[in-house]
Amino acid sequence: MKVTETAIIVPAYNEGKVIRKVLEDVLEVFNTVLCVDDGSKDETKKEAERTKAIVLSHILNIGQGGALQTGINYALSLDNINYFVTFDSDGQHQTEDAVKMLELLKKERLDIVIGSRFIENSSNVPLLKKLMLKAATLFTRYQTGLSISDTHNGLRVFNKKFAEKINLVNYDMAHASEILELIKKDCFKYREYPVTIKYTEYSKSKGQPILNSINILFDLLLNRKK
Amino acid sequence: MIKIILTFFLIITLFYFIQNPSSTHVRAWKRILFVLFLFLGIFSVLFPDILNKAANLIGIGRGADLLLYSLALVFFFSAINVYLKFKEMDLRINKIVSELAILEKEKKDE
Repeated sequence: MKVTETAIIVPAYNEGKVIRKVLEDVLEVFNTVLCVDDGSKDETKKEAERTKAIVLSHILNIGQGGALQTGINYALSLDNINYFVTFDSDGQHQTEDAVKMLELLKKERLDIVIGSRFIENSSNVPLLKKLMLKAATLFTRYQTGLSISDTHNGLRVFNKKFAEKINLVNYDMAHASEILELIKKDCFKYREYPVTIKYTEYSKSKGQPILNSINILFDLLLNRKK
Repeated sequence: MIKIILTFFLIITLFYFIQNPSSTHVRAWKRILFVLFLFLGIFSVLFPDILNKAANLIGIGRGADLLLYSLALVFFFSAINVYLKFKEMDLRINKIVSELAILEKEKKDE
């Protein structure tokens, strides 16, 4: 029994090696899978099109936030979609977590459920990455006033009400903070859920370089009041 | 003392400028100040002592120093202006790329 009424959005950039497996895993559970190719330079688009997923493709690379926005906008135009999931394309997220988060959202009538690596010690996060994430979390906590333990987790589940309000200005990694600010601003009902992140050699090599935090910080500070 | 007031004033202006670089208000002021700067330039060439007098008013040694500081300021603002303009353009392009992806998909489905 597949999950219906739900669009799961998988933004992808240069994930040609794993995208097919990721999409097929998700397709076993979810009915409507949307892959947004963010101007990849490799075979990502071709590989994605070999699956039953819906594939949209950017002609230029504009950022994960941009790919999400494209996915959300398209999903909103489809019939019978009331729930939305954002899911990473590098194989780090677990489909079961997404399913559990959706159940929680429906049961507790929440607007958004956010995955967290830091509740109940749920993942083996590499130390340096952990420190960097903690710093980002503290900053975002200060900025948004929300006490969230994992501020840059790509696994989220939300309802249509929330989806319709998402209007990202930041298309780079700062979009994560923008989503949190939206929760705060419009007082959406949110909850965190412990998720497992599989850090494979492949995904570790593709993670956010620590130096990129400087770029994100810069963009956030300058773009705040748009 | 005047230096402190001026610096404070400049910082406030900077923040306001960064927040709304393309509002009509800010755009007009940018142009006004630019023209003003041009006229001051013309005057200081025609009446070289103006710079010295102005410099002494603020508490800076020479007119040439005043010119240097003003130039540094103008350059600083120009650099920020260019950066912000590019960021704005980026945003516009990104929106188009996103729309295009959806349109292409809808066209393919027909």
